[in-house]
Amino acid sequence: MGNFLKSYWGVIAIGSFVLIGYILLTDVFGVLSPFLFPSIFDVVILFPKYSDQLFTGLKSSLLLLTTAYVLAAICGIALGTLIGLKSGIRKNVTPYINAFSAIPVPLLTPYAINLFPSFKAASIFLIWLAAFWVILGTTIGAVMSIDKRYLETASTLELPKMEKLFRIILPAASPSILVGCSIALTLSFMMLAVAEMFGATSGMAYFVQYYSDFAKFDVVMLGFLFTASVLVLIMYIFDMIKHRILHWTINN
Amino acid sequence: MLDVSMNNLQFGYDKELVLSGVDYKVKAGDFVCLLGQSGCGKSTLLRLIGGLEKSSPQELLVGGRPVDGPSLDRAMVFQDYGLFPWMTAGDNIEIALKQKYRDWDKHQRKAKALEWVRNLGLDEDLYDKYPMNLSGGQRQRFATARAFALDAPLLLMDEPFGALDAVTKALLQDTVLELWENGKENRKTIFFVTHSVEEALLLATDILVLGQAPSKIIYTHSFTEATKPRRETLFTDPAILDLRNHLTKIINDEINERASRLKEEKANGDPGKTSFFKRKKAV
Repeated sequence: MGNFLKSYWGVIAIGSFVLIGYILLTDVFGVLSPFLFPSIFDVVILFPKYSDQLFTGLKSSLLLLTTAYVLAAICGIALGTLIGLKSGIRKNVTPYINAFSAIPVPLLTPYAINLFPSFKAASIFLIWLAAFWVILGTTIGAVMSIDKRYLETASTLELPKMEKLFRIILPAASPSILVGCSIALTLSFMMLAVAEMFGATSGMAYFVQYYSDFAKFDVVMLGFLFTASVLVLIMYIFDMIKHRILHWTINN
Repeated sequence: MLDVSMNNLQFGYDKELVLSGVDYKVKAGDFVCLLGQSGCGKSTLLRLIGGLEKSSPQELLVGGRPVDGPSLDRAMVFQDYGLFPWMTAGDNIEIALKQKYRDWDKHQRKAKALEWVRNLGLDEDLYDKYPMNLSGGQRQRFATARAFALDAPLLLMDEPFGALDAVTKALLQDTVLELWENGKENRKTIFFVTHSVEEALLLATDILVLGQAPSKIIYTHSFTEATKPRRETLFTDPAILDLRNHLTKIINDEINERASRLKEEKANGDPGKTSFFKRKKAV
C-alpha cells in the first residue's frame, strides 16, 4: 500500500484536486447547473441501482472491443510486417493504404449496417477498421526502420526465416508497434461509442446515450464515471503488458 | 581455417567505387589487420568477405569458393557489439549455437556458452543480464564469446575495441590473441579492422594498409613467429618502432594527399566522385 501511494501520489493528487474542484463548483458554491452537473454524492449512490445494467453493458462492450481489437492487432501486425519487409509489395499497396486509411471510419457506418448481417458484426467491423489502419501503418514503419545491424547480425548467424521473424524482426520493431497498438486501443474506445449508438441494446456507450435521451444526467454522469474507470483499468493492463514486452529498452 | 584470395577485387556503392584492384592472398590461420584512413574501404572489404555485400564471384574466394552471402563459417564481431538488446547476454550466444549445433539440447548449448563466457574472462553471473545492464567491455566480450563459441574458421572483426577504454581494450586484445594462438595448427583466420597502428602491430601476422578510395592495398608487412611484436617490446624494440613510424607516415601521407585533393576539387567545383561505371570501363 505504501509503495502504491509512493508510485501514484501524483495521479492521486490530480484526481483529488479535480474531485474537490467539482464538489466546490457544484455542492459548495453552486456555480454549475445542478441539472447538467449533479452532485457527485448523488451520482455515487445511484451505482447499486444501475450496477446490473452497467455490468451487462460492460460485458457487451468488452465482447465487441476485444474481438475487434485482437483481430485488428493480428491482421495489422501480420500484414504490416509483410509489407514492411517486402519493398515490392509495399510499392504497390502504399497508394491504396494511403487512400483508404484516410476515410474517416464513422462515415462507413451506413455501409457496415447494410453489408453485415447483424449489428454486432457491423460494430466489430467498424472498431476493427479504426484499429487496423493505425496498427498496419505503425507496423510497416516499425519494420522498415529496424536497425540494419540487427538484421545483418541475424544474417551472419544464418537464422531460419521464422526464427528471424519472431526472435529478431518483431522484437526489434516492437517499441513502435506497441505505440501503434496503444493509439489503436484509444481509437477503438471512440469507435465503440459510435458503434453502440445504432442498433445496440446494451453497452457502456449505449447506457450513456439511452439516459441522456431522457435527460437523466445524474445517471449519464454515473455512466461516464463507470466507463472512465473501465478505460483506466484497461489502459493500465495494456501498459503493464507493454512494459513487460519492452523491459529491455532504456526508458523502461 | 580458411584461406582468402582477393583477385583484383572491385566494389562500389551505387556509382561510387570504394575498392579497386585489391589483390592479396591470405593463408589459413593468418591474423590480418587492415589499416587505413576513414572511408578507405576497410569495413567494406570485411563486409564483402562476410557476405554482407556481394562481390563478383571470382574476385573473392574464401576457402577456394566464391562468397555467396553470410555463413556460420564466417563469424563477425562489430564495433557496436551486435548483441540483440531484447535477449539476455547468454541467449545472444545460445541463439548462435542453436544454428551451429542443431542437434544439441538447451543444456549442451548453455554449457558451451558458459565455457566461452569463462574463456573471455566474464563472470557467469552476467549470463542472464540484458546488454543494457552490461558495460561496453562486457558487451564486447559477450559478442566475442559468441563469435568464438561458433568455432568459425574465419573471424571478421570490425574495429571491435574502438569504443573501449585503454585498459579494457588491452585486456581484450590479449584475450583474443591468446585464443587465436591457442588454436595452434587449427588457428582461425582473422581479419581485424583497426585505426590503431599499435593495435595492428600487436595482433597481426599480416598488416595490410589500404589507400584512399577507390582503394587498393598500398603497403603490406608480414611477421614471422620470431619477429611478431609482443606487448612488452612494442614500444622498446627499435625495429618495431621504425615500422610503427613508417606505417604512421604512410597513412598520414595518404590523409594529407586526400585533404589536398579535396581542397583542390572544392576550389574547382568538382564533386570528386569516381564513377563506378567509368572506372570499370577504364579497368
